[in-house]
Amino acid sequence: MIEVYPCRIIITSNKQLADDYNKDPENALAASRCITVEEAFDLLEKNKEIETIILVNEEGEELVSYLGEQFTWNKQNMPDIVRVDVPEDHKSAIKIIRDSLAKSSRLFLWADVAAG
Amino acid sequence: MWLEIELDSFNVQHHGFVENKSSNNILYVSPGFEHLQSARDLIHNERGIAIEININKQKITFGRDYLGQYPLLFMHTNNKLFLTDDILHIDWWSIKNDINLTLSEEALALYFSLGYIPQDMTAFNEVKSCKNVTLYHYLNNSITEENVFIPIEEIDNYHINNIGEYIFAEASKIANNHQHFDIWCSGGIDSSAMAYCFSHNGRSADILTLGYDEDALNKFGDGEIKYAKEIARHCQSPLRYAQLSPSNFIHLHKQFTRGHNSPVIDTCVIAKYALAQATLNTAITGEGGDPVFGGVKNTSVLFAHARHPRLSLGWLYASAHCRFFNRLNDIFIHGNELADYVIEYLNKKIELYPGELIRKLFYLNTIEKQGGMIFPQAYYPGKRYGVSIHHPLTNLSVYQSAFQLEDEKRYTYPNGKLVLSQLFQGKIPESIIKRKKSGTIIPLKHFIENMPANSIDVTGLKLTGYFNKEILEHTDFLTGNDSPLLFYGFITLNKWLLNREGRNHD
Repeated sequence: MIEVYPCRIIITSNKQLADDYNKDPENALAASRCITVEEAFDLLEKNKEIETIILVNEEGEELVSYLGEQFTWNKQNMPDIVRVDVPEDHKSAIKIIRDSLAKSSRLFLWADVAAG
Repeated sequence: MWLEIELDSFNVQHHGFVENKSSNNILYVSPGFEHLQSARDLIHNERGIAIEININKQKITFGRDYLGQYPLLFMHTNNKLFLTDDILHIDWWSIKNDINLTLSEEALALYFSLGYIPQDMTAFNEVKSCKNVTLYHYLNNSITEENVFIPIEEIDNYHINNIGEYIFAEASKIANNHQHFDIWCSGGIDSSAMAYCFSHNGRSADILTLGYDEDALNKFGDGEIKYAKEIARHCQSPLRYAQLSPSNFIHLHKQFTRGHNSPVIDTCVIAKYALAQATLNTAITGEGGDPVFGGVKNTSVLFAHARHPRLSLGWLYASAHCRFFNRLNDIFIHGNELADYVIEYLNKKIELYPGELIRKLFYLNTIEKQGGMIFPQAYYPGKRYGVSIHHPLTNLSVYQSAFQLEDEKRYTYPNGKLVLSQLFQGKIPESIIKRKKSGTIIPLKHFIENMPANSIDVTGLKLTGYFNKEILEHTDFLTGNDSPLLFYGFITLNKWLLNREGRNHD
């Protein structure tokens, strides 16, 4: 059995938002998951390869410092880091997170132009 | 190439095939396949098609090469069997025989779900596309399929270098038969590996990459071009551009919708037409890198399956294509039923292949996706522009060798292409091996915005009775603001169908 983990992580301590996000299989298909800062540190300390980190409402800034030191601030090797502010309405919040994730996972400025 | 058999008399008319008569059988093969003794030999060969007729037994066997590098379409009526690699011949033959082609709603549902119509079917109920790893037998006025797929056993301690030997041997074989090569190169690891293979040992190759108009470059940046420049410098090879400007996009879209065996949503097909147009004689691609070594959808399907184990794999696999499976209800009047059909169709495909989920995914991408979309998207542009196109990373021996390697040496969550990374370490720049994956993405919205109004038409689709009028008349959709790719999928389908009616053969 292959061990899997989320490669795109959304940092939030809002359990309800996390549950709403994580229960949708389309979000799982993006290999993404809402987790806490502690869970994120756990993944990073196990050297799991993370592609994107979305910091929701200013949570998880300490991850950025940690990664900066790990990767000597070489952005090419670091996960993409995206900061988003989301409203209390979870439906809107999840849409913002998904849009940010979609943009960050596309390369270059072709983003917004639609992938083939 | 086309071949017509009158099933009462077994009289044959054909064009473009090579005829090889023996005592009981007549074998018709595509040029280059003269060494075949029977259609069954297709199992061990690549790049060709064969039709074997046994008049005494009134039996016909036909098919494409094992992996399906060459396509073969067929139509079977009460008294005739017609086979061809060319959709234009289907147009001509169906008109000549007064056959009314009807649209397959199921094929169209798969088109919008996966981005292409899988092998086995076409957009029309009356026209079939031969599957790879399959022989077709005609007897007593019916056609049956024989699955000749041979599962490959993993070999303990099989070494990556063995695969390397097959890749380099294939490159040498192709190099010995041609003078000069254009490497279709995005600057990704697959095509850069091929650039290395064909620019060493006295070989001469140009790097051919997609170029864009000034307006697109100014608005959106240069995409992958910097990587193509890097590999060209590294290999000391000239770099040429296949220009994909708005005007050329319109021209290429016309060529594609006229002569391609089916409509395709994935815009990489247009890119292949641009590359073929700019190719001098012989092209080398990195095709196979993703399906055989990478596993494009492996990570998303494995993760989602682990998190939602009760969801059907068919649903997950359909959704992982990131096309419009989740919008079938918006698109089609019978969207719910068609979504069920797509899930069931893919469930069956997944069941067909042996092994753990990761191995099934490798087989699906290598057999089904390559046979259905990836090989035709090189074959037809090559045919249109008269150039030969080779895919050393997915030839038969490389495929067999790759599947003999343990899966975890090809893919370790979440990384694929472990084999290529290891084989080409030190041979191509580290920045290319480690670059983030992007796939070939073209500035589609930019091109759509520059299309003339008369190219943007979905009138024909409204008349089919399959589509929800709301989406076809929705303003956001009509301006491409809903989803440029969905919009492109509709206008491509509409134009491809118009061409089939012989009304658009300009």
